[in-house]
Amino acid sequence: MLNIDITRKKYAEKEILQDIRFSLKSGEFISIIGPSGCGKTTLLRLISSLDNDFEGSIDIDRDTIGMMFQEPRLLPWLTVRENIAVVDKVGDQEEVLKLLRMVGLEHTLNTYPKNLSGGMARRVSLVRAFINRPKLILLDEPFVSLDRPTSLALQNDLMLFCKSFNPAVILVTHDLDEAISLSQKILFLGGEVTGNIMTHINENHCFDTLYPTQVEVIKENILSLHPNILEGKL
Amino acid sequence: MLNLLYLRVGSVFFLIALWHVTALLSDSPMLPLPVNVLSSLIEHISSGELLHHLGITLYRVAMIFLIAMPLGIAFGLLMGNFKKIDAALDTLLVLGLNMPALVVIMLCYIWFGLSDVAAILAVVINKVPTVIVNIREGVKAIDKRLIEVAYIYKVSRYKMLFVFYIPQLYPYIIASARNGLSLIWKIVLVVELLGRSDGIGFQLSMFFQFFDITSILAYSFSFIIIILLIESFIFRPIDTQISKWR
Repeated sequence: MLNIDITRKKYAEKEILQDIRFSLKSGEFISIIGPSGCGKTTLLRLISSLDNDFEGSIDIDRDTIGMMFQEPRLLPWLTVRENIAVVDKVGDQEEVLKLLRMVGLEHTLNTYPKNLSGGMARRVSLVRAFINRPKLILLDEPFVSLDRPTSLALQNDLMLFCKSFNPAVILVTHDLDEAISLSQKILFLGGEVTGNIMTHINENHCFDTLYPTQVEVIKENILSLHPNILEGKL
Repeated sequence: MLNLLYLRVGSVFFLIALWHVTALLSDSPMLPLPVNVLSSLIEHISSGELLHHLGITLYRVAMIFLIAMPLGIAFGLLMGNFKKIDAALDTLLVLGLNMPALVVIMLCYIWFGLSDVAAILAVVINKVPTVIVNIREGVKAIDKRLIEVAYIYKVSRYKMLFVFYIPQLYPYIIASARNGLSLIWKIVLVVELLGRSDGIGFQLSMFFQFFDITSILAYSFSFIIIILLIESFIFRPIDTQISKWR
């Protein structure tokens, strides 16, 4: 069980996050969505303890976190195998190979990152995030700047890993489609304008309980760029 | 590849040819013919005296290199990473960088006597600041995003240093090793000339007093050959090995 309770986070005297409270069980998948600059990535950095300067408390086991960033962030001087093995306490090579096989990359074991395509590099980064069987996976827009088919394939791989290893997952994204199809809960970060709104997604990938007033608020303030998506899913 | 080799060798031959012609035209004892320098070199080698002094100088160069590089890298890493350490040592660093080599050598000889320890210490003091400056710049250029990966996965300190930091600094380390070697051996000769009774610097001062230009050139060449060997059989292979991912 992960408990997150952030009262306030300031950045250069500006308040960017306030009153964010939610908890997460293993196997649960929550997406955090909001316009750019609303503090999505900052929130993820607080949870991952890359940034510890905030008011509030985050109660998680920080020893087992896996993370994917907006870029694959592989070390160019290490092979795929070595890149995955930078995570401490990685078991034998069989384990690395097993996970690579799950995403169809077993042949790249001794390849350097410069010889991987963008999609392949992200899949390696996905394997690295899961190799240590973490209880919590943090995803910072991992599908951004990929073409549609590659992005969908990567989402499939992600769900396959989630089913196999059952971690709690927090995904930061600006793509509502992505959020609805992957997660059980969505947290809309509205900041001062609207407050933050937590919604549930049911098995049919629809919003479970969303009050009409909330819909209005989300449409107007958060998804002003593409309100039709919200309409369609309701 | 082959063309590049021709260029490398060709430039050396051109220099020797130019020297030969100039020496022939000037016809002066101030500029001996290349072939005379070569025979002098062979003579010094076969008498055993050149190898003896060369060995001593190389030993000093190696000692200094092995002390100065790790020291410079360690302080460069510290100063690049920690603002407080940087603030504390920065003025000292500027001082060290601009302290005339000759002054350091004299002070070391006066304070520690005309010994090998003083000689080695003097060159180390001259060399370390330049390594620190290089590595500190390298640390500033480090990709912080990769270091975040290391934090997320809680890698050990050993891994952080040798897997995440040092590889990003390789270009800076290799560069300071290269110009480090050249700086070290230049200063070592001065140190030997001023206060040792062996080594190439000492021999050169003897030849200088006798105006033996042929021997001076022969000794210089013996050292240049060694440096070229180090470059081709140590630095370049290491460079190729660690850049194979590029």
